[in-house]
Amino acid sequence: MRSNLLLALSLSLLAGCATFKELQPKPELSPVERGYIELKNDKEDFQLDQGKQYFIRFPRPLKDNFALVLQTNGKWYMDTYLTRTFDDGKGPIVRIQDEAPREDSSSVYAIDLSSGTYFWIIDTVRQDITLHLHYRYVPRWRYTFENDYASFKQTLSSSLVDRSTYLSAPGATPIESVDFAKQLDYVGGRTARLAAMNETLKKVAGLFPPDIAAANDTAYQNYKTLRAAVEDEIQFQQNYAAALSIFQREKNAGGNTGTFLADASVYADFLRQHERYPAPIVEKVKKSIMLRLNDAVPFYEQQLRNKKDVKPFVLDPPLEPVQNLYAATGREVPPAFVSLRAFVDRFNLEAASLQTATARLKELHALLDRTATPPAASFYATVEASARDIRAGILPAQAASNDRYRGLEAASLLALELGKAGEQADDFQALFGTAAKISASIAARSWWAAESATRDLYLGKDGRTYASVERHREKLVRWFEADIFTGVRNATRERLDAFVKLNESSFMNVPGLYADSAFQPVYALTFSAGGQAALAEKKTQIDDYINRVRHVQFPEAAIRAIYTDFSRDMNVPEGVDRARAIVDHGKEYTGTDKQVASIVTECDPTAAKWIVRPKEYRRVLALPVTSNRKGVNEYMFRIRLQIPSDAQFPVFDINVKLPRELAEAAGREQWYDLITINNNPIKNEGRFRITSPTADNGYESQITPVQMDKEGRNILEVRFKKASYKVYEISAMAQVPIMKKN
Amino acid sequence: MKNKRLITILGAVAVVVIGVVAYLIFHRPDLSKSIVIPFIAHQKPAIDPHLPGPTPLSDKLDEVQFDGLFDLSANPSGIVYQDGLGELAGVDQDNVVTVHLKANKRWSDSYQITAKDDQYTVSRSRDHFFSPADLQFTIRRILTLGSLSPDYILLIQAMESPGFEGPDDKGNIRFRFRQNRIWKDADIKESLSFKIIPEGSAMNALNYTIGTAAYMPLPPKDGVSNYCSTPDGGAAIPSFVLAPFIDNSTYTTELRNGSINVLLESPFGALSPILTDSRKYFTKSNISTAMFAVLFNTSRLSRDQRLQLRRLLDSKAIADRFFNVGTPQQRHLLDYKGNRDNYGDYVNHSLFPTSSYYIEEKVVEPVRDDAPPDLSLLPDTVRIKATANYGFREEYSDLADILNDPALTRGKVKVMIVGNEDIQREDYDAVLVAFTGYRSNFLFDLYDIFLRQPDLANYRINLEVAEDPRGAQVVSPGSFRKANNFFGLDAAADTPDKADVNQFLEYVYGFMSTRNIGDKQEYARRIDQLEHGLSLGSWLFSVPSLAYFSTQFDSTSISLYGVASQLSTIKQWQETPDR
Repeated sequence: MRSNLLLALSLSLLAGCATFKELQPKPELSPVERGYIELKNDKEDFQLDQGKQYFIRFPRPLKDNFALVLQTNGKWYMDTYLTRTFDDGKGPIVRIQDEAPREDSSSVYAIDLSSGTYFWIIDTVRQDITLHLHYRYVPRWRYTFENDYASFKQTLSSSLVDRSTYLSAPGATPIESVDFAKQLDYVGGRTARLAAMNETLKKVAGLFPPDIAAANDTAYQNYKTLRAAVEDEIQFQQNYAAALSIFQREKNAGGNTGTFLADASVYADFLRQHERYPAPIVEKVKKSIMLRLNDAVPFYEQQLRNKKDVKPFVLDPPLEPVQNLYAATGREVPPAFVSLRAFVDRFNLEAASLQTATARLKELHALLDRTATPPAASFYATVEASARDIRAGILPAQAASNDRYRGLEAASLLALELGKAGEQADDFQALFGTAAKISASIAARSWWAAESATRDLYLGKDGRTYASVERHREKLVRWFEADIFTGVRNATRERLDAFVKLNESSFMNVPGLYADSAFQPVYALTFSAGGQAALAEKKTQIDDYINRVRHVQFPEAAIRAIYTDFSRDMNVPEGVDRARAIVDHGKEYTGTDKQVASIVTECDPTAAKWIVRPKEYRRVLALPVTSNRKGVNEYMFRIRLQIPSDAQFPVFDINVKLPRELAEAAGREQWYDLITINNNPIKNEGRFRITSPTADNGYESQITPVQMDKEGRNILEVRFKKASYKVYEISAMAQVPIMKKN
Repeated sequence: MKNKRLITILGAVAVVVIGVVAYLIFHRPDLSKSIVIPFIAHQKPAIDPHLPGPTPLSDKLDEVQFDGLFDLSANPSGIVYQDGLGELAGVDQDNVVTVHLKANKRWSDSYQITAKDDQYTVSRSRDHFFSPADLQFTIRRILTLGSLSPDYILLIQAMESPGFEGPDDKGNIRFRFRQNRIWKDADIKESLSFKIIPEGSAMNALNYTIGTAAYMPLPPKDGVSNYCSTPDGGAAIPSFVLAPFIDNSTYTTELRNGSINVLLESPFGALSPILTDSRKYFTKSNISTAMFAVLFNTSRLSRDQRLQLRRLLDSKAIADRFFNVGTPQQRHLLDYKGNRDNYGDYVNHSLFPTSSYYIEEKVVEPVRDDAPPDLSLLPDTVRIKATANYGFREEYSDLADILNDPALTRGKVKVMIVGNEDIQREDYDAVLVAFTGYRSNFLFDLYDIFLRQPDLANYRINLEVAEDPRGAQVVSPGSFRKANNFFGLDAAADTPDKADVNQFLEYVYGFMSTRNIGDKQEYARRIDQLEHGLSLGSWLFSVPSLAYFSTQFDSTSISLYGVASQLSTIKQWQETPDR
């Protein structure tokens, strides 16, 4: 029980501590639309203490678009506002705008159904006052209209304009005699006021409840009457002003046809709305315009004559409004104007096509100029299609054929440029059409077709000069020439390389290998835009490769390959064949590989084997020079002495170590047939001595003296016969003999 | 009375004959344990082991007195090399030849010789052993002599810079031989077979007397030494005597008379008709080393005249006459190859003798000129002079008769035997000269023919050399001056032959100075061709080298062979045991 009392006390204390005190009028506040209702607290006014804060709950209106109007005597002693939600000043507070003037004693707040309650907050009380407050729930339109109705009527009446001139009333000033500027200013000011007022009225209309039309509301009826009057006056004033403006324009144009024609749309619009205006006014306007239009065609033709370029005509003013003006006047468009219009339209079409073509051709030129290296084959077809498209877009030069305007410079120029553009497009089309074919021929390795077409293109054999695309033609010819050259060269290389790979180990009929067509270009070039010298240079490049393969790579590879097989076993009949193949390859070989050269020399019995150092044995191969595979063959080998010596006439002993097979019968018969020194036969007599190879001396024969001519060839040649067909390894050594005292 | 007188005379004659015979029998010299060789008294041999000698005997004596590192010798199968002062230790693959020097070889001045009543005794003196310094000195001397010495050619042929390194602690020295050949033992020993003289010897002495060989010289008599074997020389026969005679005409008689027991060169190179008893004599042949030639005086005879004179002097006919071919007095030949009476082999067609290496091996193939002489181009009389005082008296005499025979020389030639003075003055159109002791091998001596001072009493070679702008040694034209050669050749003389003469001099020098055999051969060919054009002489013929030995000696102990010096095997000679 005690605790309950404490709780209640605490709550009361806390309640007593709220910042804003709610004033709860009695009777309760009513949202019904009536007049002003005094707010009382049981017939008493509320007393407000200085420095205290208060609030009053107002119920929401019964409909939307209502206003809560509060009238109080203490507005100057309080700071107040209306808000939709309130919690003793805590949290955000959104104040509803007070629409009443600040000086006014009233406050007007727009309220609606979206809030259940509105709170009028007395935020500040500057001095103790007694609150006299009347409130009113009122639709907003009514509140507005009722407040301004008088003002509206006053504005209307003061803004009315005399209509006699407009209506050509008898005695009235004819409209064409009016001071248009002044009158327009006069009318314009009034029209503006009325328009502003009408806008206010329109806004009020926006506040009408849906059922207002059915209600027999006086304010509403007043509103409608006033509104109709205002709008009628505005319409009149606007029409009047429009008529005044037409006449003013026509007058201001004076003798300037261009100025007049520039307003053709305005005139046409006016005439098209002839129902808005009084018939006399309309007729006056028509008459004036029709007179003026007679100058239109000459005016425009002067502009045509002045034009010196091929750009589309941009006539000032444009023809379209003028033509419309003709229609607006109800007059048939004159043939001259029709012809003018048709010419200009055609010209402009052609000029536009020219512009487009020129731009695209320029792009093509730029594209080709940017293309610095030979493109893919598809490029040519693409460019050809573009050129064809451009050509299709270039209109025939009909404008220049117009009977009336055929002599115009612009038309002539346009025709000329169209022709040029067309030719250029044709050139492009032809050039790249041919290019595509050549490219296809190159891709198909049809060298003759490709080269013929390239030559024809270069020489213009298709009848075209290609003057407009000369640089591109030159470039294409250059590319194709290069492609054909590269293609022929590469194809030649591929064929030749494959041939070499296939045949490098072949050792039969080697001369036949070198007679193969693989050692010819796949196609013999016959053309170069650079002339015979350039052609020769290209052919030389191909020939150089062929020659390099023929005289270096092929023999080098073959010699190495065959020599490997040869070295593996030379004591077979194929050994001789391989040696001969190496020699045959060697006949073609012009390379500088010393090893290869030495292999060839080693295998060539006719090539003298150099002995360049004394007392060193070197291997010498004796090979048959006849080809009796199953009988006796003649063999030979040669030795060339080139041993450095300070002697003027060096001589040497040559020691030849023979294989036993060759020398074992030397005791019974001479092992050699012929020994010569520089083709001079030497015998074992006189100053020459040829010792017999025996088992005791290791089958070594000494030939001495062999004189070496320091400046010439010193060839010792040995020939012998043997019933075999094989390779014999012989070892040879030379050294100087010495003089002896004893 | 008349018969009595006759009997008295016959008896007196008989007594005289008996007396002479008795004298001859009882006064025959005792040549046992001696080798006695004759020489011409006024041609004293000069001993220089590195230069060709003025007489044939000079060079032969080199073998008697000196050793090389290796010595050439001979056996019945041919020439052999024996160790002299060195032993060949080996040769490596870089041609570095290692020779072991013999440490205990004494020079001959290690012995003292005392003579008394034609007897001599040898006793030890201060030891003077062979040393590397002696070898070094010898090499230096040879290099100094240059092309004058055949040893020089062999040395530079073998080595870039002749010399050696060492000896090491084993007494080995090393020669760096040239890299241009594989050097066989025989070649190495040949190259190192030059004779060695002791360090400190004069570089240019007339005679060199101190050697290490089997014999050493005795104190000279009349400027000529005999020899005795050294105590440790190993000679089988202790004494080697040079017997002086007036000339060579009596040599065969002296041999037959037992005054000498070895005759190294028989007169005419022929078998002697008075030495036919094989029980008393035997022969040994060598390759020919002597030839007769008529050298034309170019200052007196023009080239055309020389050509015609050469054509006039038919060498074959002269040789046939010289050897009395086809007559009862025919002089028979027996050469070292065993050929008999092969006279044609000794007729020369070039300054290179037919028997020499250059002709035999066809290095030089002389052009035969069989055209008849145009006598109209010759002077009325071509005066050929010769002096017979320096050997070959009989040969010169016969040749003078032959050449003076109008049947042979058409009366255009007058040969006179004169004194040496005429030769020295070059007072001749041509001079008949016997060249002796030449080598028939590579080293045929052209200096002896073309650069020898025309003075048979003195031997002088007039070689002058200079350096060319590249520093190479070349022959100086001063080598050919008018009075310094038999031919009157003058390289400076403004004659039509001047260019050829200078060229010829260069060829001669090239031939003599080259170490390259090919050059040697080519120069030989060029010299032959140019001399043929210049017609400097008629090279007549050579005479074989035929030696006679008394059967006092064991013929099997005496080996002579081809080009080997006759005395190179002297220490092996032995007397016949049963004698």
